[in-house]
Amino acid sequence: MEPLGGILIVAVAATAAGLLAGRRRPAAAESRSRTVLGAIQRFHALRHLPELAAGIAREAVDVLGVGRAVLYLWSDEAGAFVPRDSCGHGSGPCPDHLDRETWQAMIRTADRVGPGYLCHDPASAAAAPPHLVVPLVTSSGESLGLLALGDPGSRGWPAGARGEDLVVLAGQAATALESAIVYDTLARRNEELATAAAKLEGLDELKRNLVANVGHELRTPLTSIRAYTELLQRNIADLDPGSLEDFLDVIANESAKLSDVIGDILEVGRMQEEPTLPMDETTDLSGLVAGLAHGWRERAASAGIELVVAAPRRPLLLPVDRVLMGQLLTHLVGNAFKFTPAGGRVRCELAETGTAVRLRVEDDGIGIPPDQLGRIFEDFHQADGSATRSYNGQGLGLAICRDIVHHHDGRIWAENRPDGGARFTVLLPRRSPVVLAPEAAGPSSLPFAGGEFDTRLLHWVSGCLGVRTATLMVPDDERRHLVIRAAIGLPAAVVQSSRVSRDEGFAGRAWAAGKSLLVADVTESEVTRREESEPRYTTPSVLCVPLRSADRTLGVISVNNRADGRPLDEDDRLLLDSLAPRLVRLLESYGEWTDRTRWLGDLRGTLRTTTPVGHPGQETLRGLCRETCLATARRIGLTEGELGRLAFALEFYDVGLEEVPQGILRQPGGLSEVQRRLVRGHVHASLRILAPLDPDPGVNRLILHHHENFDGSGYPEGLAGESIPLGSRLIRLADVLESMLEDRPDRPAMSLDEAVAEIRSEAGRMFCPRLTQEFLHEVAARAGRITTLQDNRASVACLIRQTHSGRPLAT
Amino acid sequence: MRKVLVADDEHNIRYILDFSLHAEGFSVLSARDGNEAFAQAVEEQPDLVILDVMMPGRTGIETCRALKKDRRTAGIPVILLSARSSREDRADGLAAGANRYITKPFSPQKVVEAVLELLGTPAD
Repeated sequence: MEPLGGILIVAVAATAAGLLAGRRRPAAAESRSRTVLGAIQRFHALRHLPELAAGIAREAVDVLGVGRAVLYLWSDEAGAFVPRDSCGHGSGPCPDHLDRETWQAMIRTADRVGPGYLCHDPASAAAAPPHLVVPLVTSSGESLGLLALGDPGSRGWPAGARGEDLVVLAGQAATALESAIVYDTLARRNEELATAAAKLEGLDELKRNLVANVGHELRTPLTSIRAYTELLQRNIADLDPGSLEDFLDVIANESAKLSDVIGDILEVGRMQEEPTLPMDETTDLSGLVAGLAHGWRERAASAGIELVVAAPRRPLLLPVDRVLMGQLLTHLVGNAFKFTPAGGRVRCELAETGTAVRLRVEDDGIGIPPDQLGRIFEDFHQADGSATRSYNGQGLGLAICRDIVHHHDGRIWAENRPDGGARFTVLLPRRSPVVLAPEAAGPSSLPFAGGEFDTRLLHWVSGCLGVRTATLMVPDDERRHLVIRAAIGLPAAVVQSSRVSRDEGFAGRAWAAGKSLLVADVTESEVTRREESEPRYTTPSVLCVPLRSADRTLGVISVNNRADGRPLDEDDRLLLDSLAPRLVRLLESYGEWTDRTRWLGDLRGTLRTTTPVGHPGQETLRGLCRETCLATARRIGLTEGELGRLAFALEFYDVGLEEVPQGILRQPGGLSEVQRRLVRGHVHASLRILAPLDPDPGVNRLILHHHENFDGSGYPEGLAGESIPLGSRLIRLADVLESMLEDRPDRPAMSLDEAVAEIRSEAGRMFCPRLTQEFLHEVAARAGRITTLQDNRASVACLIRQTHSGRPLAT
Repeated sequence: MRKVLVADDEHNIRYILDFSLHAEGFSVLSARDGNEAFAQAVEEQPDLVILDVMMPGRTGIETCRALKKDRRTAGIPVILLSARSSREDRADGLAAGANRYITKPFSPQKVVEAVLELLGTPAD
């Protein structure tokens, strides 16, 4: 800016010189001009916009001798002149927002005094004194702002020589403002560039990891190809024809695998274009299948396989992750091709049932060995032997397919077709928006009062399945009868009177059997004859599923009356079965949360660190860790509302975590893009599951960020330091403590001392240092209970091992 | 007869190393993952262990570290096989105590040569 500054100074000097020279002025006038010059030089020294605005207002008051000056600047956002700074004592109101119309109106009726307009504020009383408003116009004619002068005092408004000073001041102020605005814009652009650079660095890292993985994926088949080729080259004279053929087969197969891997990698490359995980994404599955089918057809043609693709013509929208679904389809169909010989047939079908979307991929190839059917979805499953299908995942395997399906709350299973070949079926539940009666959510820390939670749960179930009636029945105290705890779509009279004993009625039978029960036509069932104890049905089918946790049944959910009027079928039962564990978790978490909030309420400011929550003798590691977390929160002074939200988030934050991501996290060698999406997606999954229950947005925020690390290396957003919500930082501590004190498949439980040392060493990296200290204090207060718990669990585990090994128990 | 333990989750790799080492007069034991490899090394006391790095359960690096830490197996030379070829990966492998770090795709002949180098030819 220096050359421009130089020009400005020259311009200023010229103007000032013009003032001074050429006319004979009295000494007072000279000193006044010097004052003006001084003011102007001071403006131009200020590049920073806020300082300049203050400076202009101040100089106006000093130099012009008015009582008050207010500087307005034009704001594009507001579409008006907005006051930026002022100086002097207030006298008379000044408008705080001047759009162009108002301004034009004001000056149309205003008197001119020198360069300014004598304005009355249109909103003020008629008797209020006017302001002299001078437009600040740049040399190019742009009106940057207004200088409003008030309270002229005994000298009156600047006129004559003072008026000329005002002209000069206004002109120079405008020029100075112009440069300051340019500086301001530059500064903001720099910030944006810095943010973009940081983002690029993040992507770079992602790419580096991807490159490492890709290298491995390519080298694995190449290893076999090279090694067997070399073997052949050295030993070809000595090998028998059988071995020769085997080796050549290996080379051929591995080459084909290499080709597949390259295809997969190109897919992943395309996936890289979408680094974020949108939560509300809706995908058109028909469109997705149609798009992929092009590539499939080419492949089928070159392999001599007949391909049939059956999908609806119109869009089939589902809230699923498009990238993950694409991978699922690609892999299932790819597998079908791989294991079907030329002349065979592969069929991919997409269909809607009333309550779910069904995807089916089948072939008439070599099928799956019957003893492998239950195991092919496991991580690292490998079937040895030449003719059998080997699902050893190179890159994307069936384990990943299972992960993707579970991530969307669906079911996937495999079976052999009666006339040969394999069939893979995937069911994905629909999730219709749940319309709830607006309950008055009071300011209390208990988000769900009374039966609201149960009702919302039922709404969610009915939305997923597309039914109109759903009931939640729970065992009474003697555990001999089931009573309705919540119901939707049933008349109140029925709800009041319904009660079934174990073994009676459909719900009772489901309870007794411990399995879901589907009755396609109740009129044919003898059970219906005991009609006085049954809710009334408008359509003749009913589906009951018991909600079992360990060995206990929490209750039974019954649904019927499908919205489309058709009877419930096997697909519905499979769906409800797959939702059941999720429902159990939610109900259990809700139970524990109500217990804990009652405990919190009892605390009332006193820290009763030795009071066990729940029932003594049923102390759990999870309960202890959560209690520690809440005690820490209370200790550092969170409000009742914040405590309530934290308590709720603590119970529900890992509701989206299935057993599957553990398998991924144990995997050596870094994660593929798909796996990374799944792991990070579990945070979104928890939120998605809770969404129909409509918790407090504060709760959502706590859950969303509970996996962020203090140093910014966490997910999903890589927040760092104090920008991570405090409750989330606390949940992180409790979560990690719990996992350290548990047995994991790849390592036994740590001792409390080890865990504490580990946590302490992670302060600043994973954890907030300040909170770590407070948290460990609360952990120390519970050391006895934790160690007792661990000892008990160790003895029980030892007992179990001894029992299974058949060795006599120690006496 | 000298014994070599080969650990790799891929059947093809186990086969080819078996074939090549047999041709050189070694007897070959095989393992499919890190845990199996460790157990077999302790029990069978092979003269040398070849470990693939990317295996389920314990990785080759972890297994190598465990072998070198355990008194019973610390003296057995270890060759690590891996598709990861960056300088850091190689450094990690050698830091874990491996005597050699061979990258994939490998030449079976080169692996045999490394084995012979570490164990000496039978005449020695």
